[in-house]
Amino acid sequence: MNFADIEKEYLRRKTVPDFDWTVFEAPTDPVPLAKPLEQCRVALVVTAGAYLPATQKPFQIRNPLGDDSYRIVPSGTTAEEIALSHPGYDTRRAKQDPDCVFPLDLLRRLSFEGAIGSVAPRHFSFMGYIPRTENLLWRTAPQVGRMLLEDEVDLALLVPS
Amino acid sequence: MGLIQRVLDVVGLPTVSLSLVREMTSLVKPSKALFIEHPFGLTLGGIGEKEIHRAVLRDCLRYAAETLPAGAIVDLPYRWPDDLRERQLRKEAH
Repeated sequence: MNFADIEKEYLRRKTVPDFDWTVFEAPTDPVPLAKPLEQCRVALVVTAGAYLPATQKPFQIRNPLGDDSYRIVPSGTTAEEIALSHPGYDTRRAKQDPDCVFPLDLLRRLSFEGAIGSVAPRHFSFMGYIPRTENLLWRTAPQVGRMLLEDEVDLALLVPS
Repeated sequence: MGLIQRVLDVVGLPTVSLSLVREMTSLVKPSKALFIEHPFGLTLGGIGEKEIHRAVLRDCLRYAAETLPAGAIVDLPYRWPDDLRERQLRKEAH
């Protein structure tokens, strides 16, 4: 039994009796970069459950139906300002080094070194436990897409946890 | 992760994702994913493993610039040194 089957069985037993994975028959088409990497503005989209406790609420990690909201993380945020709330991994471990799940510090260093053009002004954090996906697919993820376009982002890097 | 990536693909953004579970990415079929055999919560590497983090992010950038067939899942060469990932996949570790 692979992990997808193990997880599906676990969720059906513990929280969502009719749970099933959202499946697609055909892949989405890749969008080619419009410019060289050295000129690209790059944004992070993560599912680490990262948030800014000084101004934002943590994700709902005890809700059996998950949490499909997102938090906006400005590019100047320091590692010390980031907290993590997620039921699916050991957040205390990753909090010691947020680059493991939300490599914003590292992206800034790569920008400083010229590997990319710039770091986008806003980055986006979801919490990966979302057993009901309709609202994610039709509302919250499209909102993030629009903000990335507003910020004239050239490349989105997606990091799971 | 793949579901969010699909939405960003459709709005016209270039994307590349890391995947921690190949079979789950195969179900969702985002445009371009890089499969890495790291544990949950240590996606880019272990605590303080700066060079590995950097190499993984560099791989993301490199493959972002490459033309691959839609739905490609590229295997990255990183391996985890202990059984944490395997125990997580059996839901025996957090």
